[in-house]
Amino acid sequence: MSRRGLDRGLIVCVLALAVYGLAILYSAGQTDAPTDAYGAWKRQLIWLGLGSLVAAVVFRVSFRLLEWVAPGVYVFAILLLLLTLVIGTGAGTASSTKSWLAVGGIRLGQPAELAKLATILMMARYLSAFKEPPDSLRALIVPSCIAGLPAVLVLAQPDLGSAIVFAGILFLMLFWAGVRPFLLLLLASPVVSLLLAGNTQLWGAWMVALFVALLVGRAFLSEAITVYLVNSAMGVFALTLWNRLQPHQRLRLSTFLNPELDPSASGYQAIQSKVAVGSGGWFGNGLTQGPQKRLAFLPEQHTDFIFSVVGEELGFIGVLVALSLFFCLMLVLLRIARRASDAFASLVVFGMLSLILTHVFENVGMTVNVTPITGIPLPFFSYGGSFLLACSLAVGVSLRAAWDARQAGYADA
Amino acid sequence: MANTSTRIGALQFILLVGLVLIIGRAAQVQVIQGREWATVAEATRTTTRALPARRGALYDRHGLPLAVSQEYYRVGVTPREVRARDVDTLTHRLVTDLGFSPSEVRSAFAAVERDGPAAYLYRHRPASASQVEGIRRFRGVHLQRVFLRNHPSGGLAGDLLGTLVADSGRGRSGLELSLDSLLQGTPGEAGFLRAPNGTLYESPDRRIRDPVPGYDVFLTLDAELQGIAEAALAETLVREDADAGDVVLLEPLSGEVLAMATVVRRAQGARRAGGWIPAEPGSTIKLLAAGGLLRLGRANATDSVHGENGEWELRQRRRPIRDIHPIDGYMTLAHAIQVSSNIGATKFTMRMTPEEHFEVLRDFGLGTMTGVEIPYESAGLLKFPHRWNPDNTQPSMAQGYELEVTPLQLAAAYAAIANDGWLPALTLIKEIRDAEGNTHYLHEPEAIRRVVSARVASQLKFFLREAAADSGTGGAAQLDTYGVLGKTGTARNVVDGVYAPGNYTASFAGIFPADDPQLVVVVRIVNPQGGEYYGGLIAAPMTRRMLQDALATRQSTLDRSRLSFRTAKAPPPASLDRASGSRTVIELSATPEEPERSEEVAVPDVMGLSVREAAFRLHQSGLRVSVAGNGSVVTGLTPGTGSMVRSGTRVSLSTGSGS
Repeated sequence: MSRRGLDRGLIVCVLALAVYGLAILYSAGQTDAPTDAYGAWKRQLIWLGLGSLVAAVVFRVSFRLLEWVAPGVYVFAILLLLLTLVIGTGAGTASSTKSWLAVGGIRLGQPAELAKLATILMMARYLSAFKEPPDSLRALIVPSCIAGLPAVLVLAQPDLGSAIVFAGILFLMLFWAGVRPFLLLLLASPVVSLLLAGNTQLWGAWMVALFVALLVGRAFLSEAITVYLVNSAMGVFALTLWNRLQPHQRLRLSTFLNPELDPSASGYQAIQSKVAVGSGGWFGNGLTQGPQKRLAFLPEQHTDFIFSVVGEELGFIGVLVALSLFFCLMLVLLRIARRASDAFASLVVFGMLSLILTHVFENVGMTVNVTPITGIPLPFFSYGGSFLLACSLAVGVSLRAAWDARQAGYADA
Repeated sequence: MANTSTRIGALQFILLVGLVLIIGRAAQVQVIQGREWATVAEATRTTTRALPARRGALYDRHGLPLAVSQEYYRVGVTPREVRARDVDTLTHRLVTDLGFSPSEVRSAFAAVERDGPAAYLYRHRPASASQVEGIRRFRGVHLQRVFLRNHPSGGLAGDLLGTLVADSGRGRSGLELSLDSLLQGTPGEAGFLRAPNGTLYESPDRRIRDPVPGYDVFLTLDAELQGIAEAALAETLVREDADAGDVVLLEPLSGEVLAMATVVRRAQGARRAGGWIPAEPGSTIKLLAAGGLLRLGRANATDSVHGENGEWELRQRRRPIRDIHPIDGYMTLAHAIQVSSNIGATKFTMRMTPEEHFEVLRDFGLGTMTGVEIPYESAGLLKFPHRWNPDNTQPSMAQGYELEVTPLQLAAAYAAIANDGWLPALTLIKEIRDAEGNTHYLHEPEAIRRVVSARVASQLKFFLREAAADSGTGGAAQLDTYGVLGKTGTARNVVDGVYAPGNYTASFAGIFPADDPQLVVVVRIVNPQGGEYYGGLIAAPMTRRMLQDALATRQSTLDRSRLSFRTAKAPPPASLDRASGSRTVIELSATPEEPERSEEVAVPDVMGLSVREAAFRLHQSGLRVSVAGNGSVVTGLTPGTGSMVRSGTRVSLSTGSGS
């Protein structure tokens, strides 16, 4: 394993993001009002070191081994999630939920992060076994269950943000595996129906459109009927489901649509984030100088809302740079996935891409009020050990895939 | 694996759409609306707070501080903000200058690693300006300026000065209340940064408006006379076992109140005491009616009435009028006042109609507030004639009942007699200066009206001279050296609606010195239970003691050059000349007249005493005093204790705060 085979693009992207993220995390701790963020960058530095170690170790692990351990890791992760539901504790940014696993008062981490990786491995293993891409809804039942089981378990914590990540992984990986977009649409249709159920006219229109789509798309009759029935049921049971949501989730969803509904509580973060980001203007207030951050108007400015620090202190230019780096990372990962020497490796790398993409989109979108406040970390920026290790693992795996591909003779140009 | 290029293209397209969506939104929020949100952010994080203005000080007429606001600082240190190279110096300063314990400071600095910005060091007791001088420049030191009210002269004139409302620092009672608008100043305004948890962070560049300190008010009070009055009252109340007492000392020509003392010894006396609290005056009022008779020509030096041998039945009156010292024969008006004959006073007074009687009392200022700058002065009680009981009221009023007079009113009325008939406007304010020392107001003596002619006034003074002579009721007020004019009074007190047996108010109203009046004295002692209760036996001797003390202190208010010995011939009454009536402002450093004697005296030991007590002792030794500093306790003096110096030498006291 020589250094020559390393993917330089990936390393440059990741290093740039890590340095940028660490600088912002350092700045997040420079406040006048006391916050938890103080000194977090030093601990993050330790996690980064640990992460590099993990990446180096994973780089040496062959994809065959990964494929072999995938079911075991998946089962282990599911068991941990179950355990979390029983003995989980709230901490940090998710203090009202049971998302942490602790032994003897020492927090070991958030099993949800492990479950995301395990789900990617398991999905990749399952999907790579197909010679032809699945072409019926029936064939999508197993992968849906692989992603759905941990999603339901994290939803029960309750952690809506992570559950959405599982959905993102599922759909993107199915798409990468070659599933027709029409089938993905059918798979997603119950959720769309659920979301539109609040408005009778919109829902009615959706049901008509779905009917037409099923006719035109020439779906199997049984599947078409099932999809239509499930969509109808979703419309009917939406209200019941809405009532079963936790109050804070309901508030988050409704204040996403209108943050001014509750400016003091759940709308507070959305408004303060927008105010901080907006006040940054073109060039921002300068690193460590953001006054809103210094006074700690955003309590989670070192974790969930770290991107608002970027916006406030480095302005639109800083945001542009950060998003460009993430975009480059996506392109690099996409290239690696495309050139991977086998289907499993390709799917794993693409799964990692899906994971990071979903996190970035959800997190940054939340900071600028495009997506709901769900409270998930921004890769390489947010403070947090479990997720940083997960990202490092993703990087290690991707490096290995690139290396394998190069060894197999795929030229880089 | 369907790795078609369309799939890749689609994915890249989706990525790009997501990127554009978010960047577009960021551009909207930051670039298009950026200014708007910056304004919102600014408004969210800033707030303004009032900067306290220093409250003006109250001084006595010579500039001795009575109530001053001093600047203190609440001290907080956030160790995290302190620069590493400053830590040792700052720790040393905190320990030596501010009294923090070394371990306390060390542990606060050590806590930074653990608690971060939450680590804090706070001093609960405010520190003085000199204490914080050494730490002011360090980063991480937070000073909050507060003003605390001090009374460097101890409790001198405490009730009159009044108190402040603790929270707002506004006046609650006394002069602090009535002069509040002068003293309070205008608060400034400063901008602060505000964290969402409510904590404020100073931002020195955001001072919006500087506070304007309040005006300093120089009262007409003379701290030494006030002290003498309070001490004499306290002593007399104990000696005579009385409930309460008042003293008013007035400079008649200027109407300036030199001392206004009230001491309450028993709770039941509280409602009866105070220079502004009215009571039935008794015989001190007889002189005012005499003024009316003389000005109307209803009596002259030779007119006389019969004494009825001490008991006189008046037509419809329930009880006969009695005299303590029965006179079987005729008496003149002067004699009636000299011996305080109720029968004589009543017979003479009834030569006036009720309207004429009312008019002269009103002209002397009864039934009207004197206008002294206290927040709760009473106008007393002077009924209109049509409400008088035709049979009872006039005889009662002739003896000093059925009307109520405050000590201030009585003092003003006697001042009119001292001033050859001019009733002066009373005041407690001598001068008002701003913080830079510019004078904004200087009291000019003001006459309200001419009550009686100079000739009548000098006749009345003659009556008073007789009343205060050895043969009169007020003889006990007389000094060996200078003549005292005065009239005693003994009034019965009403308790629960009836005149209570054995419950009297002894009083004395006097003018000093006889020939060139400089001082009007009114003394009122409520309910003495020590055996004696006559004004002549209680209030008159107390007046004498006060005057003796006042002369002994050599203070500058009594112009000794104008004092003439009682044997000297009385000068012709001078008219109230405006030019001679206005006095120059007495500066802090003003040099009083040279002492009369100049033998050597030893400087007494006054270290550690209160400034007032020290000044009192030094004055008694024939020395003069200057005070430096606003402290309440003597911490040093030059020349030192035991030095032999010429009498009249100025001794400088340096002062500090007592501990």
